[in-house]
Amino acid sequence: MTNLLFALSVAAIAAAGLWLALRRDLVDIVIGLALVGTAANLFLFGAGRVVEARPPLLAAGETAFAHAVANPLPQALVLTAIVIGFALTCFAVALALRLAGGREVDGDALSAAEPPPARDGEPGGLP
Amino acid sequence: MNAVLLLTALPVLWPMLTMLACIACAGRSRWQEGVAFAGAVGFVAITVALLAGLADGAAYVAHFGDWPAGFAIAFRIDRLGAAMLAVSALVLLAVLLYPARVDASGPVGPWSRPLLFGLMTGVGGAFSSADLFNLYVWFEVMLIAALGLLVQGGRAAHFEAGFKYLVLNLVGTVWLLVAVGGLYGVAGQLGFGQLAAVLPGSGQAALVTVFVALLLLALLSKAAAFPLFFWLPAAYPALPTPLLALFAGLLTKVGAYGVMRVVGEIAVPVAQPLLPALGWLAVLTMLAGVLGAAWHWDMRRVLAFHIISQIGYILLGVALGSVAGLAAALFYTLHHIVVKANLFLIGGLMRRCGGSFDLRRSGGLSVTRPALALLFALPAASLVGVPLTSGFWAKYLLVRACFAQGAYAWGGVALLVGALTLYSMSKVWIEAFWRRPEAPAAAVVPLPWRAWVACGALAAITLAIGVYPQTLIAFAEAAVADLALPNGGGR
Amino acid sequence: MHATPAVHPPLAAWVRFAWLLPALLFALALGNGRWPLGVEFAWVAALDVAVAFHIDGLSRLFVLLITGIGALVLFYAPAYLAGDPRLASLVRLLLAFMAAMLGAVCADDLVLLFLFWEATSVLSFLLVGFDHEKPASREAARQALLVTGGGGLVLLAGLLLLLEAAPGLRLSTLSSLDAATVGQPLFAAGVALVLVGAMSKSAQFPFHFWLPGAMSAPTPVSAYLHSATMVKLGVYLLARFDPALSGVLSWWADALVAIGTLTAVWAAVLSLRERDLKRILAWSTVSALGTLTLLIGLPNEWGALAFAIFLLAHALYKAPLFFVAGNVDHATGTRSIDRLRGMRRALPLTATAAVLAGLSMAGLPASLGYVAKDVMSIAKSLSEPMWLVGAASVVVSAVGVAVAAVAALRVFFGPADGPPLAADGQGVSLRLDLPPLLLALCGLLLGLFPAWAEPVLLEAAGVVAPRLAGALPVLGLVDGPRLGGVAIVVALGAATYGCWDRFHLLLERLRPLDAFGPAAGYRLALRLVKSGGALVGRRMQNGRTGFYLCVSVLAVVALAAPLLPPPRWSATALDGADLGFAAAAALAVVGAVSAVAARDTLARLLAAGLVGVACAMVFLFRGAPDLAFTQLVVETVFVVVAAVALRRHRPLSPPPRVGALRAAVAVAFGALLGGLTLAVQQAPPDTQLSQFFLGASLPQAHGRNVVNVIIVDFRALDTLGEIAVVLLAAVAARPLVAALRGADAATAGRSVILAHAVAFLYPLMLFTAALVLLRGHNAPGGGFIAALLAVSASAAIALVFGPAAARSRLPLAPPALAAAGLVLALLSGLPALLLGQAFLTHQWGEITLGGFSFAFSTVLLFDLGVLCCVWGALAGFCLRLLGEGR
Repeated sequence: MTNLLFALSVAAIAAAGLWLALRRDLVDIVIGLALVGTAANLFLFGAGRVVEARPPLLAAGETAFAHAVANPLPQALVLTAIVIGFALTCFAVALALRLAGGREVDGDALSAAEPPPARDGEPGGLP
Repeated sequence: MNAVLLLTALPVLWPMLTMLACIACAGRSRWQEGVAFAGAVGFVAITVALLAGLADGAAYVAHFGDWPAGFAIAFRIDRLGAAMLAVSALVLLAVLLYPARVDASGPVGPWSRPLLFGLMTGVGGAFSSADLFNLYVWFEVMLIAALGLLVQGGRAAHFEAGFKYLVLNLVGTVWLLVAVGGLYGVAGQLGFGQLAAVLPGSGQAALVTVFVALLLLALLSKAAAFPLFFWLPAAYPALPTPLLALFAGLLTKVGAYGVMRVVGEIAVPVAQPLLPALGWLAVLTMLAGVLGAAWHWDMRRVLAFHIISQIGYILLGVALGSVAGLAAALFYTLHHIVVKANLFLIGGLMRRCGGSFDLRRSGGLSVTRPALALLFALPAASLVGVPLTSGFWAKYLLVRACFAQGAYAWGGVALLVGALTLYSMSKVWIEAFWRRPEAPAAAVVPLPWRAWVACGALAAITLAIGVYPQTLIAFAEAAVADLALPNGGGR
Repeated sequence: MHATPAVHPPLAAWVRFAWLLPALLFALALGNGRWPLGVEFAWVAALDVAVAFHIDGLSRLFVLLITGIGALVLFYAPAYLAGDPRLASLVRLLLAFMAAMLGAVCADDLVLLFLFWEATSVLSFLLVGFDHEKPASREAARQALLVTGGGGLVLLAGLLLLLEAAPGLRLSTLSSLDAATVGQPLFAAGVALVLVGAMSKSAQFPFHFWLPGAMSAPTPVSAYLHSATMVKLGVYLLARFDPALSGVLSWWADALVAIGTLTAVWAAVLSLRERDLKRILAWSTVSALGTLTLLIGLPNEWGALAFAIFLLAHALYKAPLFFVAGNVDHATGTRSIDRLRGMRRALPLTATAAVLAGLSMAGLPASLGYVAKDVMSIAKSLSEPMWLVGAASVVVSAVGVAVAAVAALRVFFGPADGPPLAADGQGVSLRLDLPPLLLALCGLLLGLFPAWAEPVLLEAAGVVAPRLAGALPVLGLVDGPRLGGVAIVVALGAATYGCWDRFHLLLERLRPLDAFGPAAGYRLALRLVKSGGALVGRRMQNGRTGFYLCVSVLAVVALAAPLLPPPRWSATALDGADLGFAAAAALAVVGAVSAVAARDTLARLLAAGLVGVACAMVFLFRGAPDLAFTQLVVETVFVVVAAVALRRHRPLSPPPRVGALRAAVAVAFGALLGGLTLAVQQAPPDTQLSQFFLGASLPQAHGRNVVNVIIVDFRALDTLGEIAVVLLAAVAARPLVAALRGADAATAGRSVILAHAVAFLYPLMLFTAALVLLRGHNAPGGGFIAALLAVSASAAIALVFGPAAARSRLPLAPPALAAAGLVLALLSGLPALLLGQAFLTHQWGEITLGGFSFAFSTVLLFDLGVLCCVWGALAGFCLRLLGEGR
């Protein structure tokens, strides 16, 4: 049940994230990508297997783990990925807000860097 | 002090220190320029030292934190990595030598140089690392630095370019993370060498194949392969010329390098059944890139699509999965980085002389600027694959490897794309150099000597490889032979 | 004639004497050396490519043509372009072209041959486009480049296949190949591709159309490239291959005969359609090239001999005729045969040359053309009866006679109502008349005394037909019956000449048929390239972010999903789950669904936050307290900051709908990720790495919190890269968020109690952060978590007192703090390098200070670096975003 539930939640988060990212609102896109990142982190965490286990902490006085503990490596990797993802998400929010600049901006109509073709079908001129 | 351990860490440490130094003098432009240039010179020196020490085929290995192999993150710089580092350093030097404001393509702000060295940190790490998750980290370093450089221009075009780049590359990064996590989950290892040892005998062959495929696809999206290339033409043309040249030269090639590593070292037997698909993707990449290039009129977009097309060639070599194929891919990559960076730099000079990046609004440069014409002709010919330039030998090696393995269709497409590249470059030549401009030419503006030196030196490399390719071919073959024997020995 | 630069640079003297160089080479080649001559230098050993030359009789004939006519062309060019500033560059290009041609006909190595071959294509592009201000010149140059350059690539493919089939193959070893090698399908395919490449170069049908177009080149170029040398390169290669193939590859000879005949007839007929003297000559050149191909294909040795003689004869009459056309053009400014009449009065020497060359072209007795026709007829008569070929050759010869008559008679004789001489007074100097006269006279002299040319021609023919070496037929004026044949051809030619204009009108009416010709195929190919480009550049690269994302994800899913093994339903899949975990997972699903269902941006943001909280719970219930805490803080800070920043955001109205395809892609993406998750869960784990970390953490790395030890020690390099990302993100975002305005009055209107509470909380939170940092190595915590606490402390200050206030309470400005953090982290790794250990090997020690001993470690320095870097960068971010929202 654990495995199924876990996989289901990864799938749901990923699908919802991409669904949002495929909307045309810039902030929705960023939120969606953040969710997709969360799903990836969850998957990475799952790579260490989601079994019931104690945290990989040695209590004071212990010198070795006597009981089953969670796999510490994916945790460390996920921690790294979370922080990187957070930095990128912050950047993305700032970029989306700057791009929108308080206006309604359609993510499918960003044409300053990619001008649409000219009337005769030839490529449009870049600034 | 252990010189080997120091030298192995320097491809990351040096640019990172330069980055910090550039941040420290963010307010003083001249100082920062000097620091950056010194940093580039130092980087070149480091890579030269690395290459010099690798003549006998060993590799520089460092296990960070001095933990045992397999448990520590390892840097393992073999000839393949060292060559990529060296050519990156060279392009970096040329790009920094090239004056920042040679055309009106955008300013270079006080934060561009720190970001530039941040980018080089990622590049250096990616070419040195022998750990899959660590590779992911360096890709993220490159991604955020590239994004920063994209938006530094501060205009709508820059933000839009940055946004598309961000969205598409974040997804590529997610695939990378999933593939790395999955391989760890299945094989329990992250080091290249450990994975190479474990993957073939894994009891989870099907699952391993999926994750290797995902890893390849993630790297392909970083390399701008078909149909994952959208971010490149969407973003690159917004960059100022020197940065554009650096991006064009390096970024996609890091992805291609990753593909080489996976196919040639990490997952040699696992990737074999995936290679035909990779080959056809490479074919589509070549075709899509060159067709897009042939259609466009803006020099930057023409060249941006050519990057995609050339990536296709490199991937085709990798897809052959043989020593000859990988050697061809490596030769192609090294030659192409120099040529592509140079073409963008020269494009900036053409913009300055002709008044526009748009070929429809340029013209007559062969009369007013014969020296520039010559300077352009060399890398352009190399891109096409005209004999006596580096590009000819690159294509020759590749097509020969295709034919030797019976991949006649792939080799044939490679040659066809060569013909289409000829079409595209002749279009640039005819429009920008031959056609008389509609507006009377403005006064002939002088071109800065630094630009001449930067472009001339890169062109000289192209020519030198073209005239005497033996050294580089032998090197590429030796470097690839190292891959087949991942336990080539540390030092 | 040319308008651009007003300044005429002084003409360098070398330009006027450049012709001496080829003349010298000509004399050297004419001298009796020892043939064949071979030289070889090592070059690219890895590819078995050498700088190898092999000069035998065939090469020598070509060398003589290239240098001889080259000398005359270089003699002619300075007079033709007198006063033109581009003369020097023309001469340079011609010299380079000559070198490339010489290399191509002397090369022994196949790759070397290709190198020179492509060089001639590129140089001919530059030469044809010499008048590049005229659109027609540019288009012609491009056409010539694409056809011959593209053909060159086919040739390369062919050569590579040949080398694959017969490693180490050289041109000189072709004839010694055994039949088994030649019989391989691979070899045959290579030969076919070489044939195509040669056809494109030598303007054989269906690649012939570029040659008449290339007539926009200046006359010296046309005379050199398009009559005497470059176009014969393809024929040269065919002649090289012929001895090895004829008789072994069954289709080879037939293909040559068929292609040659078709080209010869096709071009002969189309030459009747032209009104431009140069284009008429160009078509007749194509026709001659077809004849040469046909002669190579003839199976007996007389064919080879006829090939050699006709090659020479053609060069000796066609080049002068091109010169003549150039002289007329130079003098009058026109080349139209409708306007040119009676030019003999104005240009007597040119007229003489035209008549002499015309005699040879028409194949009248006492000319080399006659000898060539003579041997040709012997060759054909000895072959199996090929009546079609015979009939074709009559047509070709008759049209040849007519073309000769047009060039020699129609232009120069008749009433003197031709166009006036050009006003610029540039008459035709002796320097312009000498080359055609000389060449045409040679044609006549060699016709009268064929023995003079016999050694060279026999040697060349002997290469093509090795059996010829023994029997030396004597060339000379031949008996009567064949003279009768000549008479018939001449009569037919005269009739054609007489009806030239009528033929012209007839063919003009057939012009619509061009839509199906090979030139139309070329144009169609260009259109295809263009529409293919539009498909990529406009349909695919359409600027729509969502489309890009959708296609990118779809591609990866579609390529990876088929590889996914089908899910296995093992018993463990249904193992019971504890309630907390189940609740967390369910909450995550609920959050995801509500993010999709939410109606406005803020709600979506909160739903996303809910997902984050659920994830934190998952982490918590699965033994990852560090992660849980990190996730929770990150999510909180993100939601709060984004919610504030979003106040200025205006969502799209009406709300965008996600199309069916996009929704399907999203679902497929989720399904793939979920499937992968399940599959990994079901695979047996390999815990080798974690076992090591769990075991070594305390004894070797002195830490009880294994996750933290991994972050700061075992995999500290990842962390270093990661804080570099954080720092770079802060630097990267500088243009995105406006600089903080001065002290803002955000406190106004806020609860005093809240203000006091926050002011009190701030140092408390920082203190907690310090504690978390210090104990992180042994208990949940560490640099990240401490940093996130500090960030939330700063954010709290900013929310209440305004971003500027929060910023003023940071120990350093945000970017400086972040950079300082990275410096600290780097510094913690450097002592190891000095001690000869790997970077980031942590050092442990104790400092005794006044009776107390402090354990000291670089690990703490590293973690402090992480704290500072993440705090500085993220606090800077949050503060700016919060400032943005105001």
